Amino acid sequence: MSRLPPLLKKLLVLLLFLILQAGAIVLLVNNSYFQQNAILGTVRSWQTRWWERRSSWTAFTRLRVTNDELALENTRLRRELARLSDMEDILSAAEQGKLAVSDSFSFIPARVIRNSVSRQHNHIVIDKGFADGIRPDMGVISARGIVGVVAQVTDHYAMVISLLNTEQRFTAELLKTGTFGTLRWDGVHYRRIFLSEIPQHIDISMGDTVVSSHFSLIFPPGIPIGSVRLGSLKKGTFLELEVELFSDFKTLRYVNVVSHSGIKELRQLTGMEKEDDL
Amino acid sequence: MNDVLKYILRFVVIMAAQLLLFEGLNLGTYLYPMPYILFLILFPCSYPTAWLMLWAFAFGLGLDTLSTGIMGLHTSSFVLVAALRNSLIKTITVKGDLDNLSAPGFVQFGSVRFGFFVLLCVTVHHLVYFTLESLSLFLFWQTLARFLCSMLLNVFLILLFKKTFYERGR
Repeated sequence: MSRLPPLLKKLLVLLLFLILQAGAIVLLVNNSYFQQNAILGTVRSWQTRWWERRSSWTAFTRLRVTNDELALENTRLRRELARLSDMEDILSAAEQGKLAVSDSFSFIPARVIRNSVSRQHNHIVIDKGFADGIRPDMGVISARGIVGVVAQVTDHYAMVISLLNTEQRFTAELLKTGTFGTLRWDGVHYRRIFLSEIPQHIDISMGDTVVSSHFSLIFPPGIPIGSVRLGSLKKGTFLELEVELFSDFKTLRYVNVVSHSGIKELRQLTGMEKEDDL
Repeated sequence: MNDVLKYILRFVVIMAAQLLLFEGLNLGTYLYPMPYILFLILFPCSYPTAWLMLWAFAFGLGLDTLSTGIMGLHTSSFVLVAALRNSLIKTITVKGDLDNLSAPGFVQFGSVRFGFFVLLCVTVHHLVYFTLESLSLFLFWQTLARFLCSMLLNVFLILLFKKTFYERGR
């Protein structure tokens, strides 16, 4: 040992000291509960401090993943919110007697699984079908207005002709005066639609609410659709109003399919064509 | 006599004295006689630290095992004293003196310096011992009082025994 270089010798002595001391501490910890708790408690607190620091670091490096997860979570919650607010709207409307729910209209909630707003003939696919009581020509509404009308139905899915479809016409009326006209999309902007065939003498002001018509067989009356922005004279006889839609079709998630129990009878009675139902 | 045999004999005698006499003495809460620290002080000044620590470990382990105290307390504090002993000697002696000094003692160091050396050793030992024993600031003042009282007692005892048993005839 005396032949070793002094530094190495010192290191060896230090090592021996540490080993012996460690042995003593191990004995101490193993044989006494109090010392065990005190020492292990200190070790634990260091450990947790280290874990905290490490987790804060890894949390920082994982921010991207966390963001994605949060975005997904947000979407899920937003859907849930939309669904619940839909339900709430319908319930409160039913309570106020605006919708004759008990009379003839009932609602089937459905989720939008495909949607488009950018084509001339936009369609929406919902996840309810024949098995859920959906039939062709039923109306579809959302919390913020009319969505469209059911065109084709399979067992578990249904295709809805969107309000944003240049081929489709709907009947709507002005809430203030009750004047009804035809609702038509010009295929340009997904939040802008036109209400035509309004007589000239009707007093129109900007912001007037357009609602679903009382004469419609497939929509409950008084469902808000949009507000009037501009009016212009067309062909010298009727006014054509530009209506800004309340509902944003891009964010459409949950809809309600309207089923009208008396529609068959009414059709027999009036002999109306399908086109006139709207 | 062979040195190692001498150390072993010393080991046994001091251990026996500590176990049979001083552990049995009940001097109250504040006085804990631990004159066995003398065992390390008696080694020659140039004795290697590594061996010193091994002796201390063996002694502390024996004491911890045979006494009724908590395992590891004596071992831990005694090993630290062994680790620091040679450095302490170097600190309190004049450089160059070390070659002439066979073992720490009144004559070799001078009474005051030897007393100071013993005080340092005992302080190191007791510091570790009472810290590990209490391991909290609960009863801090009581622990401090135990530390100080026991320290004074043990310094006194060690100096006394050194004078009485190892420096007769000088």
